[in-house]
Amino acid sequence: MAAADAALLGQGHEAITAIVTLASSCPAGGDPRWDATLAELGVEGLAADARARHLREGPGQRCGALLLELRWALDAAVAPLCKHMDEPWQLTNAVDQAVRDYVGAVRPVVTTASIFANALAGAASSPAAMVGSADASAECCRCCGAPRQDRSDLSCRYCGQTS
Amino acid sequence: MTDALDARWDGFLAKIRERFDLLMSESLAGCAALLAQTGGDTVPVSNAWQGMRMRGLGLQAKISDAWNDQVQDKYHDAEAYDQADAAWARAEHMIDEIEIELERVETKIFADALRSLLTMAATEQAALRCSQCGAELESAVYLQTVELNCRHCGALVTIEPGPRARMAVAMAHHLWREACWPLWLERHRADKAARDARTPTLELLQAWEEAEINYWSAWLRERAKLLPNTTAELDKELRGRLHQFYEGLEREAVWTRAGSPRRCR
Repeated sequence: MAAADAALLGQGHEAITAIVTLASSCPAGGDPRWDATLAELGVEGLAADARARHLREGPGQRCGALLLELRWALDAAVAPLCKHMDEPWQLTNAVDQAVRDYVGAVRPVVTTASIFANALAGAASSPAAMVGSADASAECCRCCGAPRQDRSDLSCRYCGQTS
Repeated sequence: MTDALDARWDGFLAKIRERFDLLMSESLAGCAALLAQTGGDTVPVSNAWQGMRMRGLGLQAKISDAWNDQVQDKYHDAEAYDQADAAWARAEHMIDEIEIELERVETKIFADALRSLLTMAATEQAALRCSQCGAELESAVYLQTVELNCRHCGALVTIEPGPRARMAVAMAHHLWREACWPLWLERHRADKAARDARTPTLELLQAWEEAEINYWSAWLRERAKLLPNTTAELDKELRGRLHQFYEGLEREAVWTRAGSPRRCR
């Protein structure tokens, strides 16, 4: 790699890191610092209602600037450097990778709470719900109600009833 | 170049493992809490575990997906074929570890649930009284319906053990597997070694057979501890448990050429 390319690549990586760090630290959808960065880079951000729609309908973000705005910002940051590089693909690849990593970093945390909540919610109404308890019942003569003591003895010792 | 690829791949595997371990610890704690909240109902526990298990399998699948879709080609682009094989071997090792861990956690969740159920059943049954005279009954944890004479009035009393004790019996195989866990691991390894060999040798098959016999013998002995009425037919039961296994061995040429040398007949 030419020395000039290496230097530009280094600059590009620094710019990417700085922009991603700022984007990650924003609340979901961005903040004034992010807007200022976009302005510095000459990028026109999305309108407020478009930002809200991206957050609502997009892949989901728990924090950070919008993915699309991040890509625009990174493209704008590396474009002037790429023009002077023999192998600009290295920087454009780095941008792609940074966006992919960012997607993972700002994705909503998937918790397992819903699994347990659903299982608990379904327990009460389940036809297989555990009902009843242990039970003890004495065997009684069907005629006089006296207790029986031996199943092999077919007649009641008190009333003579045979069962 | 390949060092960076190795580092990135190992980092990915470590991240998967970290998430998987977290998932399993949440499973153990969550299922125990669920069992307590439902008064010993194992159906919601089972439903929750299925959900967690699917998440675990999803993480496991990410390994081969990432390898096939992204990583393998990068190694091949760099013509680092040996490193690619080594990297995939590390992934396969983790896939196998996850498979084992899923079994271990499932066994522990339901063995713990079973122990809780037995405690609940013991409390429930200790409160039983003779319906004729109201006296306390002989203290024990009954797992099946039994008839006994009241020590006070002599009445013949039928004890129905209740749903918790019945459920404990239905799930007891988890307890036996837990007690035989080291043998289950040996059986898993022997099974895997024989299956992974392109042409299994007689020695591999016999090692697998030995591991199967050891595991199932121990499993049946553990079962007899909880269900003493199963003690009488251990040998017959063992033959039954191994039937499918031997059927499989009959399809191996090296086994049949050696005269199908079964140790358990």
